[in-house]
Amino acid sequence: MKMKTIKKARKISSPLISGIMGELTPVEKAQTAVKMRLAAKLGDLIKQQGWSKGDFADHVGKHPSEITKWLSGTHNFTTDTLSEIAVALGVTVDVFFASERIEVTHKEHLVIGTRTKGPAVGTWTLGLITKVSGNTSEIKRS
Amino acid sequence: MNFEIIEIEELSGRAATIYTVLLSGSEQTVFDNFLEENKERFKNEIKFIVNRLYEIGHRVGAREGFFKPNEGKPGDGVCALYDLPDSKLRLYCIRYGNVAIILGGGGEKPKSMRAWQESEKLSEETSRMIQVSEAITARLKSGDIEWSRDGSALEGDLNFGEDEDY
Repeated sequence: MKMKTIKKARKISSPLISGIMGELTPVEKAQTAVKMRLAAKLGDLIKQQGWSKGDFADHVGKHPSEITKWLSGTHNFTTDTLSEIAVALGVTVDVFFASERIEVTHKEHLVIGTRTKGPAVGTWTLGLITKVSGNTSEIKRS
Repeated sequence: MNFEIIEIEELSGRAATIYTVLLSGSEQTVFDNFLEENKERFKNEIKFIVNRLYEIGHRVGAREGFFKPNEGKPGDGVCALYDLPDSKLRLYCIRYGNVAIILGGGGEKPKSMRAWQESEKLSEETSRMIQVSEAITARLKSGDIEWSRDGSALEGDLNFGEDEDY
């Protein structure tokens, strides 16, 4: 049987792109990420409602060009605008930040014992196992 | 036009594959040329564009709303990346759903300019992407290239020759 060879595109690394990315400050990265993720989330929510962009514009009382701007991932949303959108969609504002929120999935307690043969002297919460975007972080014990 | 479709390592990620065009005889890709041409004069815009493309590739995908549609011929996927509201820089690309884009070049587009046809540079960049789109469509139709099983990558012969009939 003849095996089909799959030929993929050649991958290249661009020092120019790496250089530009290296110039981005953590704040610039975060600002762009937030704008784009909010736009993506808004697009998903509109779709979930089964609405077109025009339908949503009607519900939120805006011109469709304003919705285009909101979905472009370049818009700097105010909390007031997010509130308007949330009401129109019948959701709470925190929905927009759901994937960004650090969710506490488990609390771990550590029993601290004495060095003698005596009983344990107390229980403290050592830390929280957190889940951020699907990645479970590890608690380091010293 | 002889060219090759190249994947950009820094920008491609789990959310979208990001390609660009390497013209035959050129050492730099069309997208790198665009960065080189504009990085001094439009420094902040260039940083914002690269940052956005990274997010598209690694997190949010090539959402329809991120691109200004219908910059080429009807149905050819040629579009422009939306930039900051006061930006005068335009980057052209071809969008294939949420999962892949091919970056082209672009240039300055003042707000007073209504259409890319008014600028020689923008006309050249758009026409190139229209040609690239036509070439890819022809090869997808002929089966010389196809989408990967997960639909996120182009596979097959991604070198295109001048004598081909698109």
